Order: sequence, then C-alpha cells, then structure tokens
Amino acid sequence: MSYLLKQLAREWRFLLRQKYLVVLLVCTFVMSGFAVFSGLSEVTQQKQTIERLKAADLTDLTNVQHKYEDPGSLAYYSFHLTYSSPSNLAFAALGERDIYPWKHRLNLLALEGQIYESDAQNAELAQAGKIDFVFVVSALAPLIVILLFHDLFANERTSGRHDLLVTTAKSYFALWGARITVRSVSYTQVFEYR
Amino acid sequence: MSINNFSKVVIVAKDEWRYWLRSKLAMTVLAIGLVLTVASVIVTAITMMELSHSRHELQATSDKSFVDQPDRHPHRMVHYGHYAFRTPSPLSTLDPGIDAYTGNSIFLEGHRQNSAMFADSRQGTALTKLGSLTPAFIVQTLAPLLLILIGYSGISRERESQTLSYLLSQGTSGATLIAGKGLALLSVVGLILTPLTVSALFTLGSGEGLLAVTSFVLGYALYLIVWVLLILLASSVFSKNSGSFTALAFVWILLCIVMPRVASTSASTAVPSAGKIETDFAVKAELRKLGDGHNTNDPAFKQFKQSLLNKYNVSSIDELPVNFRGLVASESEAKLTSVLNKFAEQRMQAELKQTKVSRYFGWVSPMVAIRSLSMIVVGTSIETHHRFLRETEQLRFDFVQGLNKVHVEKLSYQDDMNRNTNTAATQKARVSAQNWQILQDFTFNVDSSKARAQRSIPAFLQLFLWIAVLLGGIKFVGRRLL
Repeated sequence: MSYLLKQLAREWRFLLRQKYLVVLLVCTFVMSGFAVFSGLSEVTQQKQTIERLKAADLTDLTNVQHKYEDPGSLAYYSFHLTYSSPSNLAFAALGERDIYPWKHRLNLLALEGQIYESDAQNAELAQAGKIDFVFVVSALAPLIVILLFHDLFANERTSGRHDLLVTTAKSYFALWGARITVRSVSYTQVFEYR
Repeated sequence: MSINNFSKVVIVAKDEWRYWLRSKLAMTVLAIGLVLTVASVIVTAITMMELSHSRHELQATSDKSFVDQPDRHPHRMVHYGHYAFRTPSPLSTLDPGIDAYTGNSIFLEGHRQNSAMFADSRQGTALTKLGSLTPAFIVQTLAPLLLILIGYSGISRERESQTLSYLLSQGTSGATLIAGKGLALLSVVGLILTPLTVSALFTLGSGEGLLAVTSFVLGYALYLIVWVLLILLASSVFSKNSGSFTALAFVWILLCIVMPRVASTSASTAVPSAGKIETDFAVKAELRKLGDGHNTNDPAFKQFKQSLLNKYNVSSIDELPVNFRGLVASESEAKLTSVLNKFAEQRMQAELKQTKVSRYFGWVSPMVAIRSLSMIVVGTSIETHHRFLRETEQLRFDFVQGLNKVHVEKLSYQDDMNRNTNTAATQKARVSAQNWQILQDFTFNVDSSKARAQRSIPAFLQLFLWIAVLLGGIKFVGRRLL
C-alpha cells in the first residue's frame, strides 16, 4: 500500500512542478466555478422575476375585476400569466431560455395576435451564448482532456527520458498507471460539483 | 532595419514556408482553413441574399395587400395593420451577427407596439450552439486555431532540436528570427483574408460604403495579427513544443470560446434588464391615466372636447365641421405613442447598457473585440436592431395617424355614430379604398458607413492595445531567446 502511495505522491509532485499544467488546472477550476455560480445566480434571477410577475399579475387582475362587471369585459381585459419555472438542476443546464421566452401573458382577445408578442432577452448577448456547467462539460472538458494527455508518452520521448524511465520503473503501472491516475484525478477534481 | 536585415527576415520566412510545405500537418491545416473560408463565404452569401430577397418580396406583398383592401371604415384599417421587414445590409453576407437572434419582421397596428418576431434561431436546433458556419465564425474562431497549429513550434522547434543556438551564433539576431517567422505567419493571414476581402469588395457593388468595407477588412487583419503575435510570444517563451502548444491551445479556449460567453453572462448578471412583460405592467398603469381612444365619452377627453368646441366656436360636437371620433382617436394615439416610446426607449437604453458591459471584455479578449467590431461595422449589431425598431415605430405612427386623418376629414360624424344601426348605415360609414394609398414604402437601411465606423472605434482601440502589449512582450523576450 505504501508503495502505491509513494508512486502516486511522486507523480503528484511531478504534476505540480509543471507550471503550465497547474495554470491549466487552476483556470479550468475557475471556469467551471464561474459556470456553476453564474448558473445559480441566473436561476435565482428567474425565480425572483416569476415571483414579481405573479404579484404584479395578481394586482392587475384584481384591478380589472373591480373595474368591470360584465363577463365580456372581464374576459376581454383579464390577462393570464403563464411561465415555466426553472427546474432544480437548471443551474447546470440553462438551456435556450434566452432564445425562447419562458413567460407569457395571455388574454382571450385575439389569441392569434399574441404571436406578435415575445419577451426575449438581449439578442447580442444571446448570440454570444451562455456559459453553464453543461457547456463546460460538453465543449471544454474534452479539449482539456486532450491538453492534459496529448503528450503523456511523447513528452518523455522528446526529452530523451522515455527508455530510461521504462527500464528503471518497477512495473508499467508504477509509472504510467500512477501518472494517468494522478492526471485523471486532478482533472475530475476540477469539475467536481461544489 | 537595413536592407540586409530585411533580406534575412525574408530568408527565415521562406525557410519556414519550406518547412510547412514539407510537413503534412501544416499543409492539411492550411488547405482545410482555405476550403472552410471559401465555402462559408459562398454559403453565407447565398443564404443572406435569399433572406434579403424574400424579405423584400414579403414587404412588397404586405404593402400590396394593405393598399388592395376594399372600402372600409378607416379605423378598421388601423386594426388591420401592416408588416415591416428588416432587410439585411450588404456586408451581412460576411457576418449575419444578431440577424438570426432578433425577430426580423414586426406587425404594426394601432394602439400597441408589438415585438419583432420570428427569429430564425427559434426555428433551428440547438446544434449551432458553438456557432454557425459563417465567414465571421471561421475567421474569428477557427482561423486562430489554424494559425496555432501551423505556428506553435516556430521558435520552440529550433530550440528543441538545438538549432537555435547555431542560428543565433551565426549572426541572426533574435529579433530577425522572430520577425521572419512572423512574416511567414502573416502571409498565411493574408491567404485566409483573401476570400473575405474579395467578397467584402463585392458588396461595394450593392451599395456598401468604402469606409465600412475598409474597417471590416482592417479589423480582421488586426485581429489575426494579434494571434500571430501571441503565437510568436508563446513559441519564444516555452522551451518545449508541447509547452507552447498546450499554452496556445488553452489561451485559444479561454479567449475564443470562454470569454465571449463570460462577457455575455457577466453583462446580464451585472445589468439585469426587466423583460417586456414586466415593464408592460408599468406601461399599462401609465396608459390607464390616458383614457380609451375608442370611447369619446371617456372623462379623459373632456378638456380636449371643450378646447375643440372653443376653437370652432360651436356649442356641441354634432356641429363640428370635422369628425370628433376621429379627432379623439388621433389625439389618444399621439398620447399613447409618446408613453409607449418612453418605455421602449428605456428598454433599448437598458439593452445598450448591457451590451456595452459585454463589450468591455474586448480589453481582455481580442475575440470579444473583433466580434463587436465586426457586427457594428457590418450593421448586424444591437444598435441596428434598435434603429429598425425606431423606424418601424415611426412607420406605424404615420400610417395610423394618416388613417385617423382620413377618419377626421372624409367621414362625417353623423354617419360614424349611426354606423351600427343597419346595413345601409354601415355601408355609408366607409371611406374609399383610394385612401389606403397613404401607406409609405418602407425599406430598412442600416446606419451610414461613417456612423458605423465611428461606433467601432473602441473595438479598434482594444485591438491596438493588444498589439502594442504583445509587441512589447516579444521585444522583451526576443533579447533573451537562449
């Protein structure tokens, strides 16, 4: 057991001494942290918006009900709020809620006419896209894996150490196994959900 | 730099090209880059031309169907409404920008301001999340990656194979070496920009201003120069090819993929803007004070009525020489529009503020800088959309008030009041279809190329700063290459 730990500890030290790898891991950690943080704050904002809309909608509806008596006018002037509230995991996958409106107010008059109404967000921001956890995992993570592992063997070969390392290592896994484990662990740690 | 020195630079550049021609990777990358750029230029040009054509056509159809309406009560036509379409600018064939993300048509009717609707992004799938294959995307996002793949080993290769010390000891200065490698990469930049420049020049024929085309091409040239400098810097700093590659690839991920999204996310978090529904509550509260323009007995119009009676020196509205209902409609439309415009303007300002915050990230990422520069110069930025909204609002107001004027002058108050008594009276309360000619032809044009170029100055400054800082860095590193 202590032998295994020794191998792993050596590889950890090796990893931490390569500054560009440390920078890479730290930056990735910051990125995924930012993605989760911004996702959470976006979802909170959406929930607050829904609460405000519900309150305002109720006031508006009460106003209308006090003002009009006949069913026709009541139907004509009353609006009904519909919305789709973000799910519990929405912070991780914000989806396309910036492109498709998720809140709407309907009334009985001219249902067809309401296709001309849309509560969309800032188009220039929507065009740039959003960074959420799903984006980090699906688009960035593979690139980071490539960067971490692309020179696993080749690096030692170009430095001329490969053959020496292989012959002096007790076993294949003591060297490469430990190195792969350390890189994989450091990588998954970075994406760990806090 | 003396002639002698310059010829040395050229020799280094030529040698770099020889290396690329021998290595399969560099040639493959270059071929892929050129094919992609040319293909995207052609595909996007066709798409945008079709869009432009179909929107022009739809606009003409809409104009025609309005004018072709039969004799009617003028207020019926106010509610019949009209459509306006946003036709894309000539340069948008190279950068469609937010064209797909905002509605490109708007339904204009009396008493309300509708949103621009039917954005193309809502009709597509989420597959284009990383960006669609437009020339702007290729040059902004993929071209830097191609440059990295070709150039990452420029100087670190010499160092790794221990040829760097020979080169330097034989009298080639570090600066000459870096300049030579830079010249070789710049020639690749020239290759990538050629299809873009040619098609940008073509838009001059369809009425685009020379200033816009020049700033567009210049902006992209500066952007790719930033990347060339970044590559030279990384390649000089790192002792190994793999270090240089990892660093550059990671910088690419950060600057090209992550930063634009961080910018937009930060902007929407820093400047939260209330959505349309939310502001509509405030609009509605203010409108309630104005009174209903369909109801002449609304107490809100009491003062207006009295002032009219005084003006024409009569005692009742029946004696007025004009149609009182039309006047009330016109008066209330004017007041309502001023309220709606006030809120619309507020919303646009909030959106602009958000966008400005996201554009500040151009100081941190050249990708954000070129993205806003390109959209602004092409005329597919948020400002252009706001211009569209303002112009269509003017169009809406003009045609509604034009119809109200017809209502006031061509329809007698008596006929108007009796319109619901029987069929004959309804027929009488109509005006001739000739009056629908009040509709003006609408063609949307983007801001002048001078205005767009002026708006893009901050983005140019951001790119210049990047170039200045990187040149300083390379000068510093160039003296200590070994």
